[in-house]
Amino acid sequence: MGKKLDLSKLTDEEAKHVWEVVQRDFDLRRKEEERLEGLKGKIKKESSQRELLADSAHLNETHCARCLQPYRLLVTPKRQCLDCHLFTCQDCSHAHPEEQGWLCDPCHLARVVKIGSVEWYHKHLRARFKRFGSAKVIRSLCGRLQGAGSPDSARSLPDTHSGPEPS
Amino acid sequence: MTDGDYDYLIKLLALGDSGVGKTTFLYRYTDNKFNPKFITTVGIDFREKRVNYLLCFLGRFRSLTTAFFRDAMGFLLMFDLTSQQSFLNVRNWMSQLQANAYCENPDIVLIGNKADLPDQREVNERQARDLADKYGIPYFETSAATGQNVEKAVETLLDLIMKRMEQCVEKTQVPDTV
Ligand SMILES: Nc1nc2c(ncn2[C@@H]2O[C@H](COP(=O)(O)OP(=O)(O)OP(=O)(O)O)[C@@H](O)[C@H]2O)c(=O)[nH]1
Ligand SMILES: [Mg+2]
Ligand SMILES: [Zn+2]
Ligand SMILES: [Zn+2]
Repeated sequence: MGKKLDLSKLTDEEAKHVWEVVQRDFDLRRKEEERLEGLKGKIKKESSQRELLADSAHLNETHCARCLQPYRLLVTPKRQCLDCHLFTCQDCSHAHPEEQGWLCDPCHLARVVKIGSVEWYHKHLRARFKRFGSAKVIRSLCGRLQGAGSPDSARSLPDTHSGPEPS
Repeated sequence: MTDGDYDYLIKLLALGDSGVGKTTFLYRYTDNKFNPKFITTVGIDFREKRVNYLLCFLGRFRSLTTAFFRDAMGFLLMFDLTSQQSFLNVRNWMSQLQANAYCENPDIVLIGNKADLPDQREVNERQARDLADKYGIPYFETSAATGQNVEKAVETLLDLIMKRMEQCVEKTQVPDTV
C-alpha cells in the first residue's frame, strides 16, 4: 500500500496528462479549503456581534440578532433558531433542511462549514491510508517527470493527516 | 455562495471496464452532449458541474486508477448493457472498491449504460437488479447517447452522500457550534 506505484507503462505524454489532471484536482481542493476558511471568518465576525447581544438579552425581544433591525409587528415576524434559540428576522434565517423550523444565518453557516469539512470522511480515510490517492500518484510521477511541474506543488502534497480539517 | 441552497464540494468517481461509457456519461451529465467517438481516458480525468460536484472518471492503467478510489465520496459503478463481460467484471470492481475506497461500504450506484441499443443487449435487467440487490445499492439503466436516466442516477448518488453528510453532523451536533 505504502510503496510507490509502478507507472513505467505510461508514456511520457500519458504521464504528463495524469500530472495535469491531478494538479487541477489540487487546485480545486485548495479553493474549497479557502472557501470554508472564508465562511469560518464570517461566522467569527458574527459571533462577536452576538456577544454584545447576550449582554442585553432583552434587546433580542425587539431586534433581530443578526441585522439588529427592530421587528415591525407582522411585517417582519421573528423566528427562533433551533440551534442557538436567538430570534432573527425573516431575511436572516433559513429553513432547517430536515426539521420543522428555522436556523439563523450564523448557525446555518456553521452547519455548512461543519458538513462541508467532511470530517467523517477524513477520519475514515486516515484510518485506512496515509495519503490521498492523488498525492500518491504525484509522488510516483515525480521521478518520471523531473522539472515537469513546479516544485512548489510537489512540496505541498497533502497527506490525509493534513487534510482540510479544522485545526 | 451559500445564499439560497447549500454548496458542497462532492467528489464522485465513475469506474468500470474500458469502453462502458464513463467519460461519455459524465460529459452528458455536465454538458448535455454526446460524442460518439471513442477516445480512451488515460488514467484519470475530471469535470466539474455547478462548481460543487467534482466528477472523475477513470480510464486505463488499473494500478494507477485504484489509487484514486480513496479520494472520492461516492461511486458510479458502470457496465455496458451490450457487453456481458463488462457485467461479469462488476464483481471485481466491487471488491477493488471495498479494498481501496475511504471505507468498506461507501455510497455506490450501479449503472447499466447504453440502454439505447436494445438489439445488442447482452445483460437483462433481472440479472443486473439481482446483483444490485445483493449489494444493497440502487440500479439504473442509462444511455449517455439519449440522456435517459443519466441525471437521475447521479442525483440519487448525490442524495445518498448528502444524507450521510447530514447524519454525521447530526450525530456530533454540539449546541454551540460557532
Ligand atoms: N450508443 C451508445 N454509445 C455509447 C453510450 N455511452 C458511451 N457510448 C460510446 O461508447 C464508447 C466508449 O465510451 P467512453 O465514454 O469513452 O468509455 P470509457 O468508459 O470512458 O472508456 P475508458 O476511458 O477507456 O475507460 C464511445 O464511442 C461512446 O460514444 C451510450 O449510452 N449509447
Ligand atoms: Mg473514459
Ligand atoms: Zn435580520
Ligand atoms: Zn442560531
